[in-house]
Parts: sequence; structure tokens; C-alpha cells
Amino acid sequence: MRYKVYLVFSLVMLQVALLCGVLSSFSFLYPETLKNIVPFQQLRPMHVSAALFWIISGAVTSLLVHSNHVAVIKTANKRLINTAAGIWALTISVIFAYYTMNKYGGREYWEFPPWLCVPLLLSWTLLMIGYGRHWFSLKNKKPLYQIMWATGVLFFLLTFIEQNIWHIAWIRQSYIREVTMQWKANGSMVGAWNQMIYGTSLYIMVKMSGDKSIAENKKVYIFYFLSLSNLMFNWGHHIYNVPTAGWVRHVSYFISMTEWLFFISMIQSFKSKTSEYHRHKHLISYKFIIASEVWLFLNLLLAIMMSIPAINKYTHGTHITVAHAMGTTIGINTMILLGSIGYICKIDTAPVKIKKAVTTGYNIAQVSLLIFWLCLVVAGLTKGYRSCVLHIKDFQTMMAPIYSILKLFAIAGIGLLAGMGMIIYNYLKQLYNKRLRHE
Amino acid sequence: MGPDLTNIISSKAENNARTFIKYGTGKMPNLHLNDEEVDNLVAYLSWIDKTGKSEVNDSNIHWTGSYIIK
Repeated sequence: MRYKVYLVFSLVMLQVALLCGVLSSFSFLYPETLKNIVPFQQLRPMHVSAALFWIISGAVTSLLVHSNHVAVIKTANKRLINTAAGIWALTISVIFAYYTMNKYGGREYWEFPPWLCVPLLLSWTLLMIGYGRHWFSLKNKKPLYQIMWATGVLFFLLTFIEQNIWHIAWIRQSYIREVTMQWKANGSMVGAWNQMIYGTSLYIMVKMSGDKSIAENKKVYIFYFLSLSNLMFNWGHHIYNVPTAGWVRHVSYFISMTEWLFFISMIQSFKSKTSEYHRHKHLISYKFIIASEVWLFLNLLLAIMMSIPAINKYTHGTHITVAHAMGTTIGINTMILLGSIGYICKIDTAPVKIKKAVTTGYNIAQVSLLIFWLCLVVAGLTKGYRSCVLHIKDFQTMMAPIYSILKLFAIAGIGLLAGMGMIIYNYLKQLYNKRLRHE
Repeated sequence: MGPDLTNIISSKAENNARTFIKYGTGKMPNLHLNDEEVDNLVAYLSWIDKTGKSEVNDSNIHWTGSYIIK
């Protein structure tokens, strides 16, 4: 499998997401001078799509490489997977070509002409056939990461179809019905890629600790089923503000917390079993997993708060929602994926210069992300207070004190771009270094 | 994060909204839409406006963490 090409593609997507994110934040803050040079309305879909495709592509590539290490994927299945990856990458390139030509369509997060969902669907179907055949041929399906990877791949297909259900005229006839479906589908889709990413995290933990029982004990299986319920029902807090039945809020509040408990439990059991020796041996990959644990705790608190309807009333549609989205996609998903890619490219055996640069990038990224995240939380609290408590109607007046917070947020974004950029650049260097090329 | 547009037509009046969309403002870009596109956008926003009010009324907090609209 030409996994390096796909890893490079994923890392390029991450870099594009970061660059477009920084440019669009400045375009948002200084529209009078920048709206014609770097138009926000053009950069936002680029940023969002690049981030989305980074996470999905990175998750799939990681799970395929790790799967191949567990049991070699047969040539016929590899061919299918390579075809799927080729269609996927080509379609995404066409999507970005449309964005540069100012041509949009679809729905939020998928703001490209909707016909492009057809090759994306075809690509995913081919991937499912190739990976599915490999998965069913596995002699040992017991390790939880195998089950999680398969669950993630299957549920991405289901939620992707659900996300496109607006093509049915009946769905579009009612705005509330369509919004409910959109927010529900996107909420569940996060659960689908979390299965793939957390599965990868579990696999790395098993490999680093050398303890197979981490992925094969009663406790993790129970938590897996809880996370599966989460995937299917934790979207409730996405739709508190649209008219829904009251019981949906309470059921989803209860269930939405369990996914976080599941992951905490996984990492805690990993920590207690990993010896100091192994920690030092795989230091950089381990650092990313540790970072994801810290971000998990911060976002756990935020997610619980947001899931309480009485609090959600103030936070919905504010920067706190963005903090939650950024905190989880960057702090948790991206950290795990960077740990996984570091593990794949054997970053801990890289020359000292590369390792030092990655560590510096890591430190810059963590500090920047903390400032970035805190700015969004403070901006969200301010917006919620000014709009829901003070009832300030005029948008510009309501937002006035928030703009200064967002300036610091945009500067932190530059730090994130620089830190992550250093990691990406050095990963690419390591990925193409001579020793790895012969393996 | 931009303003909530759910009830923009009834709060700003259709003609004002139409002018904003067509020419932009200091912060909002002029998207160079033609008359038909502006009409379609205004019709869409008018349709959304009729679905309800985006502002949640005053409420009492229930002990479960939910809220009851007054």
C-alpha cells in the first residue's frame, strides 16, 4: 500500500486547514482591509473542509497502516483500497478547485457542489469492500481496536448518507426538519471518526506497553458499547435549540458523557501498565497521547457543561461551541493522529535534529492551543452573557468587547500554525528519510 | 461568528436586508449577486423567518438541569 502518499496527503490537508484558519480569522477581524484580498466567505469552507478531510483521511490511513502491521492486507484488497484512496484524493482536489473558483453548494461542513459526494461515496464503498474483506478474514478479531476501526468505517458510511438525506424533497420542505437532520448527522459523524481515531490510540497504547490485555478486557468492551450508544444518541445537545421532544434532551445528556468516561478509562489503564522504559523509548508519540489526555479532560468538562440544557441555552451558537469543536478536533483528534503518524514514521528513531524540532513544534502548539481555546471560552461566555442576560440586540454592540479577545485568539492561531507546521515538516522529512524508504 | 439570521427579514425589513445583501456593508462583503440570486436569498430568509423565533424566551431552571420556558 502506498501509505506514505496518503499520509502526506493528510498532512497537507492539516497544513491547509491551519493556513486557511489563520487567514480567515484575520479576515474576520479586519474585513474593511482584508475582505477583498483574503475573503472570509471563501477561506471558511476551505478551512472547514481541509480540517474535516485531514481528520478522516488521517484516521483511515492510520488504521490501514496499523491493520497491515497486525495482518498483511492481501494484494486484491490493497488494490481496492488504493483505488478508493485515489478517488478520494482526486475528489478532494476537485473540491478545492471549486472553492478557488468561488463555486459552492451542499450544506454546512460539506460546502461544495453536491455531485462531488457521489465519488466520495464510491470511494468509501470501495474502501469498505477492501477493508471489510480483510477484516472478515482476520483470525483474531478480539482486540477492541479491530472492532472500533470496523465500527468507525461502517458508521461513517451511514452518517455520510444521512448527511446527504436533504436531497430528498420531503426533508427540505421543512426547514426545522432539515436543520435537525443536518445537526444530527454531523454529530453522529464525529462519533464515527472518533471510533477510528480512538481505536488507533488504543492500538498504539498496546504496542507501546506490550500489554495486549489493554484492548481485551471486560471493562473496555463495556465501554465500547457505551461509546456506540454515544455515537448513535449523543447528538441531542446539538438540537436543544430546535423544537424536539423533552425526553431527547435528558437521554442524550446522560449518554453523551459516557464516551468521555470510556476514553479516560482507556488511558488510565494504559498509564498504569506502561513502564518508564517504554515511555522513554517512544517519547514523542507518547507525548502526543499524553497531550490528547489533557485536552480530553478540558473538553470533557466543557462537553458536560454544554450538555446541560439550562447552560446550553447560553452557550449554543457562541464561541464556546467553537472551543468545543476546536478543542476536540485539534486537542484530541489531531494529537492522537500526530502520535499515530509519528509512530508510523518511527519519529523516535529519527536524527536528534528532527526530534528536537518536533518537540519544539509540539511545545509551541500546546501553549498556542491553550491560549486559543481559552480565548474562545471567554469570548463565548461574554457573548452568551451579553446576548442572553443583557439582551443586547445590535450584533456589533454585542460583539464589541469580544473582538479584542479574538485578536489574541488570532495571534494564538499563528502560534498553532507555526508549531504544527514544524511538526508536519519534520514528519515529512522523516517519512522520506533513506532508512524508512527501504522498509 | 456571524449574527443570527433566523428573523433578519422581520427585524430589518425586507428592503433593508435586500440592500445589505446586494451591496454589502463595512464588514459584510459584496458577493456580487445578480438580481435573481438576491431574490432567491431574500425568499429563503423570509421562509426561515416564518419557522419561528430564534430567541429563547425567559425561562426557569428545572432541578434536572433542563429549563421551562415561561
